[in-house]
Amino acid sequence: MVLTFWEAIERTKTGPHMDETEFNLNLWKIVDALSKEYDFKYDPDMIFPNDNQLADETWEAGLRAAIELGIHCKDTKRIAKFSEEEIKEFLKTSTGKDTGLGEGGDAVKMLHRSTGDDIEPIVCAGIQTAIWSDEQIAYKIYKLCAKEPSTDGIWGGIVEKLADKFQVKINEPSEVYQYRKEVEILRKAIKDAGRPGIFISMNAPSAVATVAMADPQNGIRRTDPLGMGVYEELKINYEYANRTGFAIAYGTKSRFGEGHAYIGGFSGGPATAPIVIVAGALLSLFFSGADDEHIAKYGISTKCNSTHISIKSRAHPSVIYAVSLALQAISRNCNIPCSGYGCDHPVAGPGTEQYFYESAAGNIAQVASGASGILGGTRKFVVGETLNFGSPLESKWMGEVIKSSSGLNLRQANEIVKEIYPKYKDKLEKGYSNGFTFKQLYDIEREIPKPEYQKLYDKIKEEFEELGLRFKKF
Amino acid sequence: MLVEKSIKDLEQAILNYNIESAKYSAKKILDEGIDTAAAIKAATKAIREIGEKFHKGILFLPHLVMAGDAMMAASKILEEGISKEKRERLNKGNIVIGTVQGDIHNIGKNIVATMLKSEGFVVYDLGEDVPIERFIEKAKEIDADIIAASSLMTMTMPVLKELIEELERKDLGNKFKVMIGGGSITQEWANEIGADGYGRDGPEAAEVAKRILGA
Ligand code: B12
Repeated sequence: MVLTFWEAIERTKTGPHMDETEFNLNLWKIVDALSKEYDFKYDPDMIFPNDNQLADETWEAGLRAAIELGIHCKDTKRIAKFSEEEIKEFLKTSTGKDTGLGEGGDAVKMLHRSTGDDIEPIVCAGIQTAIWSDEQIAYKIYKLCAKEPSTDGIWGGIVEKLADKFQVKINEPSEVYQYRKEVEILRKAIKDAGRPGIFISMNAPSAVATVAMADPQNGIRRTDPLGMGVYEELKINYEYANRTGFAIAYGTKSRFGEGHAYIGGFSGGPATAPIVIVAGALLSLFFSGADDEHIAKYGISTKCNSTHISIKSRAHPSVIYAVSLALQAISRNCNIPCSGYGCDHPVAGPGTEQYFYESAAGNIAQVASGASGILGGTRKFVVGETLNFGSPLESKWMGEVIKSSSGLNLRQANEIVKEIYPKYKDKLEKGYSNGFTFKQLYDIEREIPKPEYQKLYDKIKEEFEELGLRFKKF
Repeated sequence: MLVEKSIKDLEQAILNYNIESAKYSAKKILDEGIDTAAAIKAATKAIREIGEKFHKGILFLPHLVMAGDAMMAASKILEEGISKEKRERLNKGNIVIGTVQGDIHNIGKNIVATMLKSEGFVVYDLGEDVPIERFIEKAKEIDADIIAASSLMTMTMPVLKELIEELERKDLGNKFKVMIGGGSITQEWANEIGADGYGRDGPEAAEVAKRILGA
């Protein structure tokens, strides 16, 4: 029997007391020691590894780190610890799928994938947590993203001002009201796009605003992901766990964990970070809200996520290396579907050649590494001052690249990425463009990309075709 | 010769993130009657070296934190050997720092706090999700020179404006300088809301803090 969410929460209240900083430093010490023991080294020229032994040792080190470290709870300052047997109970119970996403003809199943598998991963596109100038723009972008047949789910964002006047602010009525309105707009948009059952992904800053979005008709359904137990570097807080508490009562079907590491943070560099990602992807299962009965019915899944601490990108080569390796480790050693949640948000902004290169590099690497889904949507990091950033064409690129690279083995995928990497290698830290807004990239009236942008898309697509990526028809 | 050795040991202790040996060296410097200001200067040099390596991606956050802890432990001891006025001169200023209410992003704020400490400021970190009132109360309590506030999201940016307005309302606008930063913040926004300073990253935050205090 797997340990329930409630038992795990109990441990966050009864486990050993430890200050957060001490836990963070201890995390570093343990993963640093493990990486020395296994002699893990990062070779930046490798882009992502193709080495089964390394993947299996990463799994072993991740499991050891999970048992030794546990999950730190920010609210209670206690550590919830879990034994090897308890972790392995999840591995035994997993049915190899997560069938909780989407409804009717638009429903999708997230299946365990091996490295180089033919099975197509699930794609959640849309501009993740974008800030919009107004509801019409939000609606239009959602609808056009949903119209892309290569996508299976869509991310939602938020308008900057309620009724075009009042700034939406966290922990205030405006947040609760506007997120609730936003999810209704998203629902309408996907319906109008002709895909009413595709899953939608929205997560408000506060638990109360997130919970307020739940509504089987117009809001977040039981077939949409909801709830998030664990975040960043093996830590949890109740504001996040509260969502899972609700998801269990509501009957949310997809229950998932997530492992995260900061490259440059307490997880160290790309040599050590995969250990933390694997440990987190396993430990977070205890906070997914899935019990035996739920797993038997709908399955369970987890995620690999990483962010660079100073470079505003999740597609930086160091992140691609760490996430790909963690994905390979998990894919090879258990049958829990594991999605990629890194490698996707380039340093260059939408509408640029470099954006397409970076996004494709990260996504191809994740698909070949055994990702069951790629769920982070499209986005340019930060630039909070720019509204309506990006366009639906990046979602199309994301979907087409991901679905078309299933079947590539690690070596083939690496060859493609190695060809494109030099094209932007020198523009990862400076010299990249911040990118463009929806209005700059699209003919909004006609709902199509501007000719220059479409031309750029076609040109890049051709380049990838020449490199051996066979694009599927959608 | 002796002088150099103890100071070098202190530098080395910081570069090795060794709190115990940093404390030991600091005590030795005091016992030997060595110029403590020179020792603090050397320690600062060591921590800057770590900071630079961190920014280049050669070292990681735990190194920055551990070296910062070693530095702080040594400074506490060394300060005993410094006259009150000299100590005041060495302290570049008291700073209250935190991430604003509603926002739990703390990594950037933590980096900034560590950099400020290592540059000789006394820093009180209130953590994340900090209400405006707490910033102000703590600033009053410790007689702060600067309130440093971090905000990563568009949805929490207004809180910075409210913080400045609240200080004005309480007639504290001149007493505490306000420095802001975080992913969603720009220099333009800082100007617009009347903040005294804005910093893009840790090193810039330290420079800005020095500048606004005229240090
Ligand atoms: C990691 C991360 C998280 C982690 C945070 C973990 C943690 N403990 O901090 C988690 C997963 C919890 C998280 C949650 C959320 N996040 Co978040 N998150 C990020 C991410 C990817 C990185 C932030 C980071 O740590 N960067 C690294 C540090 C070093 O950089 P930095 O913070 O900018 O700090 C530097 C400078 O800005 C400066 N600085 C910082 N503070 C200060 C202060 C002063 C005084 C000075 C002078 C300088 C200064 O110096 C620092 C060092 O160089 C950003 C994207 C991004 N790249 O910023 C999104 C981002 C900030 N998050 C975002 C969102 C929307 C959310 C959520 C609402 C999502 C959700 N629904 O779950 C929640 C909000 C929760 C809440 N209530 O706060 C959005 C905000 C969009 C916007 N413009 O409003 C961003 C921009 C991503 C995006 N584009 O969608 N997030």
